[in-house]
Amino acid sequence: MRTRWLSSMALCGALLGGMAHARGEHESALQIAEQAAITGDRVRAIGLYQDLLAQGVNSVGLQYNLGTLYLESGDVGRAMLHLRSALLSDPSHEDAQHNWEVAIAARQDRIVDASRQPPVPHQVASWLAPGRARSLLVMSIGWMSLLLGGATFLGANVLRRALRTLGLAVAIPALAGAVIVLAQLWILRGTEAVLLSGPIEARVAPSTEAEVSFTAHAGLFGVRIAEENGFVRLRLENGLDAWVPAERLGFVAPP
Amino acid sequence: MRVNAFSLVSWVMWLSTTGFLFGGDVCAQRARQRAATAQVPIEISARPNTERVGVGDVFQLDVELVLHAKGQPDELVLPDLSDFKVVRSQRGPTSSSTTLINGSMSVRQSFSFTYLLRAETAGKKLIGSARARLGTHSVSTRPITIEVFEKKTGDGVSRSSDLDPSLRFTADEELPDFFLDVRFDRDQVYVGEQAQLSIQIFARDQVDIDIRELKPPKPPGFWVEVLESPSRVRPTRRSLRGQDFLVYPLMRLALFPLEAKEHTIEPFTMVVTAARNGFWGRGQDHPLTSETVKLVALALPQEGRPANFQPGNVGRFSLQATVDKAEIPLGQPAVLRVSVRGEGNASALQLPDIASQIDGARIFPPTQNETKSVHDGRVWGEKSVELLVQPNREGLFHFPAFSFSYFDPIAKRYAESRAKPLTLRVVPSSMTAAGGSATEIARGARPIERGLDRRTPGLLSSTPMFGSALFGAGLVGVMLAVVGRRRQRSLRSRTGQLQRARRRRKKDWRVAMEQKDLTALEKLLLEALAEQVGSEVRGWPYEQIEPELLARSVASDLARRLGNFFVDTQNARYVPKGGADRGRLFAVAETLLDELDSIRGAS
Repeated sequence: MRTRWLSSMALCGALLGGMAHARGEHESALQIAEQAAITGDRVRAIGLYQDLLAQGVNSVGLQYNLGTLYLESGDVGRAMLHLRSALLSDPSHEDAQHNWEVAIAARQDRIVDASRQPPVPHQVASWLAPGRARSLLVMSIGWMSLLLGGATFLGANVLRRALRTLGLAVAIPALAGAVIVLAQLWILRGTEAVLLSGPIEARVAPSTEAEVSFTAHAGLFGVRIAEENGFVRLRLENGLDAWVPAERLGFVAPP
Repeated sequence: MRVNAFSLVSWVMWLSTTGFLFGGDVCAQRARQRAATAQVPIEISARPNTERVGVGDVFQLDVELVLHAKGQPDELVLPDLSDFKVVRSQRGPTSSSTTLINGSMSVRQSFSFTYLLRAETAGKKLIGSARARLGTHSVSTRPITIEVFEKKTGDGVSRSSDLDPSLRFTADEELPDFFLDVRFDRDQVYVGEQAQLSIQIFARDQVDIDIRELKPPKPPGFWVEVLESPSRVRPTRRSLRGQDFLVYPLMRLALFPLEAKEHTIEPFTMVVTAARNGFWGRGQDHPLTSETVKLVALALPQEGRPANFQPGNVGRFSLQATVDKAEIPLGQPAVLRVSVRGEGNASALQLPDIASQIDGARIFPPTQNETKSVHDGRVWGEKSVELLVQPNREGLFHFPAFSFSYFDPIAKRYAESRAKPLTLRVVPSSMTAAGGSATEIARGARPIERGLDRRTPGLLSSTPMFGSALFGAGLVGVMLAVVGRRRQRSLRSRTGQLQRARRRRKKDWRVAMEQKDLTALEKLLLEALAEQVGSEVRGWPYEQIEPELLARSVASDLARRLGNFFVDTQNARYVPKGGADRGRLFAVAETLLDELDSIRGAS
């Protein structure tokens, strides 16, 4: 018994130690990138942030910083891609929202009647951003543990039953939170796309021979509806559709 | 006499009501008298039955002179009709009436003149002014302009016989007191062309007409627009066969036939109430039935029909096209507005397909508008379409010269209205046009976030306290669960039960000692003994406890001390306080309890 406890503790310690080491490495890279950005070396800062992203380090702040640096560099398409990623994860991020609006104003295409709302599942998924959904999940699990643990500890039958019922009740939102996180990731990940560079010809059909619908510029933003022949059918903010070459698009991935 | 309060109040109310009504009647009479005295003693009017006729059409002009005095006018000049050919002129009989109100006599004389006029040439023709004078009072009518339009002989010519409503009755027939007159302003029109239907009542006496119950007829085969539907009918006077009639114009409708055939307006009935018996009397209802009225709708000619002509485009129209901007950056839309306006039924208008005529631009779904109005008894309207046009290329963008074909029923030929071609300059879109240079954008953007760590802030909100609290709750819960589980396990084990019993007895022993309660002490020890040897120990006399314990193989020393304890306790209970060493008994009991618990734990 004692051996088992000890081995478990050792394993945990090793894991925590490894994580702390990796964290230390990443944090130093983040600091270097930050310094580069402060000193005006945007290219280096962007490169460092992109390296971190490639290593799997991802956060709202990192996405926001990348988007802001691209925006300052005049790369509206990539700026919108990363700012949108940050906003999908944390819609309450005021700075990201502000810079997103600056990017929208800076792009060349004006979308007429852009007030149309996205599809309902997309709206729900956007509102339940990963940050919120995860918070809901962790909060529910925490309360469920507290209540069920309290129910086990207490001797009195009535209290124990009451707490057990409450704990089970909290288990439902915990489960729902887990489902929401998965659904949200499934709906949002890769469904929104931004045109990274332009101008290109947006067409009425997925073919280079198809009639040109309009000339699209960097920053054109929409939801991916279909993909065919290397073209992506984007539904724009005003509800109209256009086929755009897939290789020119960046797909929004919330951290 | 005894006065009843109720009857007194009733009398007062009756008197005040009567006084109010009487006073009101007197005031109204005086007002009428004042109005009669202030009235101008001579009036003259001239009314044509239409203000727009075709060449060769015959129309009617009624001139009426009214004198509010006896005798003849000092001067009367009838209108100059030199622009028209006078088909017939007729002087109606002079009607005279005298009214006596409150001793004041009022005289009214009416002289009427009826002319049937025919326009010989097209253009704006004038009916001159009519003048009359009585003493120092001179009155005159305003000159009336009649628009005469060109038309071929036999097409749409109103029959002169139709103009006099009395001609529907035979010469021997007495004219009725009331009759309903329904008539078109012409006999035939083209499909989609406006024909005017007038509904009026001729009456010798005043009639009461409830306008609210008057609904415009909706004859099948027509698009109907209401030209005039007065909220209050004001009669005019007209002479028929020398007899005075009041003419109540009820309604005028514009009817646009939808198919080429002879259309029939079936007779319909209206009820009017004649107010013969004055204010206090009740009038008599008179059902009036109209005559069948026919209108021939001619098919539009095939000759000269343009390929892009759309049925329904009948009237006189003009096409206009405008664009809201002269120059736009690439990627931005401009609003193109194409409208058709003119005389005719705007609801039936079909605009050309504008979007299909525009190449090299993205066209957004159009919006349509329609407005209507009535001028001089004719329906006018405008139908417009607005499109957002987003050119695909930079440079000059040319809109085609849009055209619109329609049939002109007056000229009786197809015509085309063409809008002037439009040009839009599409300039290259730039960052400046879109919102600012990179420097300006950087100025507008907020700076990067400093002090990032790799943790996702959204995971547990943005405050560390919140996340810690949540994790803390979970951890506490897990710890509670672990401790609770262990506790439950120990509760269920025999050792645990013994430990709990020992702790409980210790506690009870302390309580009993504090209170010097020998009974509680005895009970405590008996319970411990009962757990050891069985519950029957509670029924043993104290003297029998030692032998019974020995018989159950309890150690002799322990059996002896237990027996002595119970006997000593029994004795001590009846000794006055302070006479026995109770403290010793509690110490002995503690020792015995410990020994019994250790024996039980060992077993």
